[in-house]
Amino acid sequence: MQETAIHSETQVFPFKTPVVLAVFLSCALIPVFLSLPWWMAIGIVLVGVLAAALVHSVMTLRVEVTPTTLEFGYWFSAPKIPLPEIADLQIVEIPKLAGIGMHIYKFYYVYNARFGRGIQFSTPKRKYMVGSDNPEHLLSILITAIPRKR
Amino acid sequence: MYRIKSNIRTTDPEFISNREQMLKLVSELREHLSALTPAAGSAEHIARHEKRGKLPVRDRLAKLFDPDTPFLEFSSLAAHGMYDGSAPSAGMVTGVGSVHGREVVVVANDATVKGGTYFPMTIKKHLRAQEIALENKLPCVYLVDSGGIFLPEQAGTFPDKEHFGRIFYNQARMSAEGIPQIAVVMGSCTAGGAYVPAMSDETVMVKGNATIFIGGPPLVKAATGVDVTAEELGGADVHTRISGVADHFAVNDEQALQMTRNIVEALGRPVLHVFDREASEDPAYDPKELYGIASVDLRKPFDIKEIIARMVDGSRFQEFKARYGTTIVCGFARIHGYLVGILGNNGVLFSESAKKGAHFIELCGMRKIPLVFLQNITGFIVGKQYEHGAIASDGAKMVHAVSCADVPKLTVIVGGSYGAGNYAMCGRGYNPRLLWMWPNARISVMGPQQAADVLVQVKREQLEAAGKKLGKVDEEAISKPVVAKYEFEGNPYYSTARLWDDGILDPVDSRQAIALAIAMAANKPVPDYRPGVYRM
Repeated sequence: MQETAIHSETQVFPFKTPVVLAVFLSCALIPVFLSLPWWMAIGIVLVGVLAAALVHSVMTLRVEVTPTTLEFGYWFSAPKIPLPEIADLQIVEIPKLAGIGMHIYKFYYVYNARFGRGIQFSTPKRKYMVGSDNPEHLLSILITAIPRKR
Repeated sequence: MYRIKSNIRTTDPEFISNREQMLKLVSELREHLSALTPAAGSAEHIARHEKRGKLPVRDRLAKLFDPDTPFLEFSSLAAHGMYDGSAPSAGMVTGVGSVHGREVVVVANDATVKGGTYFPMTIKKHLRAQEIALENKLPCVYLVDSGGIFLPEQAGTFPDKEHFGRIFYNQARMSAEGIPQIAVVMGSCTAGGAYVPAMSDETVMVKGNATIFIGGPPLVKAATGVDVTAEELGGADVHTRISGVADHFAVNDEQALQMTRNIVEALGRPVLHVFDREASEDPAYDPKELYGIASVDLRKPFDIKEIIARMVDGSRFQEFKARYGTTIVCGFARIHGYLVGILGNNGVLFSESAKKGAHFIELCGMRKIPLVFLQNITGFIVGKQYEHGAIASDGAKMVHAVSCADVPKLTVIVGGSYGAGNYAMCGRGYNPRLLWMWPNARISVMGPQQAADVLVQVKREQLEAAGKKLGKVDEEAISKPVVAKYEFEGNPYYSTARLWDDGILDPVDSRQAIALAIAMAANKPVPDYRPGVYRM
């Protein structure tokens, strides 16, 4: 049975709609300026739709806390971490260089949808940084929900 | 002030589930409270009491107070579940009511509960009522009908500082502070208890039922061999005509209570502190929605602003530092017209939230605005990063500010009250004029699971130092009883039974209770704010 979320939040990139539109149009307008065979034009438009969908996705980070798990990410990647595995929880400034979206670094997996702050924690496998518009609130909820590690 | 914009949808399944659970708790509370009317004793004891021509304690109060005026009762469920259930309400009713338009504290023995004798919790309840009278400079009326100390509990009632003797010490100190005290003797008043009427400003006695003596007829017989009736020894006639211990002779309870009303009428008008007040206005959102917002599962967070929106006039709130230290919400609002400063929790306290809280408390202290604390607090943030950022001294700033603020402080625990968060948010130790809990609330030094984990960790370290290991089964053996104990002791009924609070409130009644408490607090002038040294 699916658990009810005790908290859920969504972080959205501030200029999401124009960016998504720009990505789509940059593909969709190619056939307008170049005379291409019809099948190639449709293909390019489809690529534009896919690229826009991908950009749209990484610009919307969803975080959900249930009584037993923390889930965060995008439609194509949403790790679900059991709460007892979470340790070293703290608020961090996510490095600007990490950019927007999902990024895999040597020591961290970063998930965010805008520049700014978030929470950082480690699990037995790896460390994560997850963007949040109100990291204090998210941290409070996790502190309350996580059974202390034995 | 701007109106709070609510994001609550009353059709949301979570809201509906919360409401159902909370309503169950509220109906349980109402059931417990209704069992205390018209008196807390059994039907048989009440019948016996009435047969003697005595009114049940709550009927006495109804006759004492102005008709159709509210009665703010304290700790109705004191001693709940204690002493094998033999002392419901601790055998006493205390609270603030209105007599000739003047707020008075009443301390009324309930003789249908073990003859109105004093259990340890009865004494605590009596002392707490006196403390409230003293803090708010309110006249105090004692409706005396008690056999004195409950003898099997003598160790918990007689020898210590905060035991029976303290009642009379308080009476003398209250008198010295200019607080009028009136005793209405409506039943027994024996031994030490005789000092209650003897130390009051004016005393009324009821013919036939009231007696005051240091030693009753059996003691007189044993000591001197003389047979004497209670009436001859210390009845109303004796004390109002011969000894002068009492001042007014009443033929029955009704007349005694009317005489008491007349005495209060002649006390004169108190000089009230003028709190900023406008015409009262209902909240823009239905206060009944509080049932669906405050969750019974304390792991589920709720936005404290949604609670505030349903407690304050017009749901209007002048928020302070809305963008800073967001885990504490501070701001000004009106409750039944009274301007108040409200602090509510939206998560654990960080350095920023503690500094914001301290700043806001200082503002209210300087402006002499009553403070309302809505506690739902896990504690202060922990961890290396925060210790290095001086969370200890920032937290101390808030604790310092709340300790030194002499404005009326009122605390409502609407969720959890754990750890040092309880201190910063004006827990019992910080002298809130009144402190209430909601039926879903919990109070303990830490959450049950955290406490169990700490104890398991301590045991593991002890064993590891001795070269042994703690097995999974042993962990469970330590953890389970600790969790069960914390769940039991963190319950609001456990708390209210021991007077760690002044009662359990139906969330919908919170607004009314806060307004009554502010009206009560207006009887004492608010001193100027004098903070101590803040560590910067």
